[in-house]
Amino acid sequence: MSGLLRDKCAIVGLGYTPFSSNSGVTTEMLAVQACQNALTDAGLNSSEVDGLLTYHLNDTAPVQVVASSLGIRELRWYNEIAQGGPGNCAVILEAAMAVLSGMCETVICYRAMNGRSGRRAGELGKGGGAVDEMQFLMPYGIIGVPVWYAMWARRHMAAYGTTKAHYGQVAIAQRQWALNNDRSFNREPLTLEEYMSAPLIADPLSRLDCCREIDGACAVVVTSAERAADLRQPPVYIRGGAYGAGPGAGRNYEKWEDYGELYSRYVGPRVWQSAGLGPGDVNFAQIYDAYTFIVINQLEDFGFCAKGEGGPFVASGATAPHGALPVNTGGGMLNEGYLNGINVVGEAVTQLRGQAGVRQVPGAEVGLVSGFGGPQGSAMVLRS
Amino acid sequence: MVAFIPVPDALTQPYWDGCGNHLLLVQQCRECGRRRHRPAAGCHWCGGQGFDWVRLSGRGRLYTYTVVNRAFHPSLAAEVPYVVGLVAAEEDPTVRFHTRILECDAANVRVGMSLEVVFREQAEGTVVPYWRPSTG
Repeated sequence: MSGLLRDKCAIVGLGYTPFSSNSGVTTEMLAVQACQNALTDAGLNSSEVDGLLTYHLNDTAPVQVVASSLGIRELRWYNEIAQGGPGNCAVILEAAMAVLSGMCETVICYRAMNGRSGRRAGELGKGGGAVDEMQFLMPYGIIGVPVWYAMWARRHMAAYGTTKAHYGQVAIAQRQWALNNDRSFNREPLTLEEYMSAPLIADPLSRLDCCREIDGACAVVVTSAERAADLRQPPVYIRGGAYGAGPGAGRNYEKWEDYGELYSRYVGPRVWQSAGLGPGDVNFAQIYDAYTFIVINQLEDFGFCAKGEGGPFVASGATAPHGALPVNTGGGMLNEGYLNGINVVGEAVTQLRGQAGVRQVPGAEVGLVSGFGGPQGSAMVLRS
Repeated sequence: MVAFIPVPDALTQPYWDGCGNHLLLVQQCRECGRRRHRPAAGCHWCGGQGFDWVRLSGRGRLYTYTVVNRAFHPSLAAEVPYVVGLVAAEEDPTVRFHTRILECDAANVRVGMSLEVVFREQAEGTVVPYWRPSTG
């Protein structure tokens, strides 16, 4: 889809709800509030929207219900993508494809979840039968998403000499960015000493390596470049993108060949090909950061540094404020909270509009965004 | 120990039956000859649909691991800290098994260490394979 997609569609609206530990409202209410805020931001009203798209893990209101409550009189295209992290760029790219096909003109993409007060990631019942792929995990106490992913972090350490302190440098750099983000729940600098002394959840990961679950929603409006030209905000063009999965994908991951690599080994080359650009052409990267270590892995896979050099690259300060490659310039989900990466998209849009205030990357014109799900994932290049 | 008992299905029943007989069985593709775990409807190397169940030696090496310090389920509160990992079979290191590592102190676990399978009756009629440091 590389040639067809390029700069033909744009992001024209961005809306958030407050992020909290207990929204006190339903996911339908969160979705509607974020979508309405995105429309206001774009200078559109709901009668001008004819497409709606979300992604989820069976934890949110049906998209048709949200369309109805938004007052969309005729929905010409909609869908729900059944996945977590990879959905963040996938929804934007799917929306662009729907617009390009002519099925609809203006799509709101959103993610709404009570991820803290409602059903939490990997939550289980009281015990009993372990079915499907869980037959091979739960009987051993391999329960809790950080437990699965800690094993990926450990493998990278064994294969490349990456250290716990390297993961700490990811958290420290992103905390520096977070100090200037009103949505961040962390507003104090993080020291390496503090990081290293945090109790481990699943070695080598501590609380400071894992993003916090939150309640909230974020919505992004996608339309054609022509339509974008006379709307309120400066358009952010979708330059290119890719998503997919490597061999042996799916859940459990026993078949994933190299735990030192992620989906980005496969998606990385394709996103650059789609955009006609390379890692040297972007002014920043918003890298999906449910965990610290996956930032290092993805930076390598996307070609920002050599394989195995991600730890030293981050430790050099390259990704921190004033570094050569600003990464997760709002502090990322480690500091904003886990909204399955739609807020990672939001930060890229804010930067490319030049609206990031104190944390604005000077001259930000092109940026990479990614979405992680282990062997499966997504990425896109956006430009102003 | 753990509150969760595997529930076999049409795909996994032969695997669990093998465990009941203290045999570690995996699928072997009739098209390309590659072995695989966990059981799947087709071969992730070639898409081949036909397969035979074949026995592995039960020897392997630790591909990666984590020491779990937080109990993500109430039934695990008395278990932490415990070691879980992914074991690569000696016959083909791309054939890997998730497991609890038994008889291994958290301070002594290492990527690459030699392991052997050991079968435990986790509930009446349910035998689950575990791995522990090689004794032989």
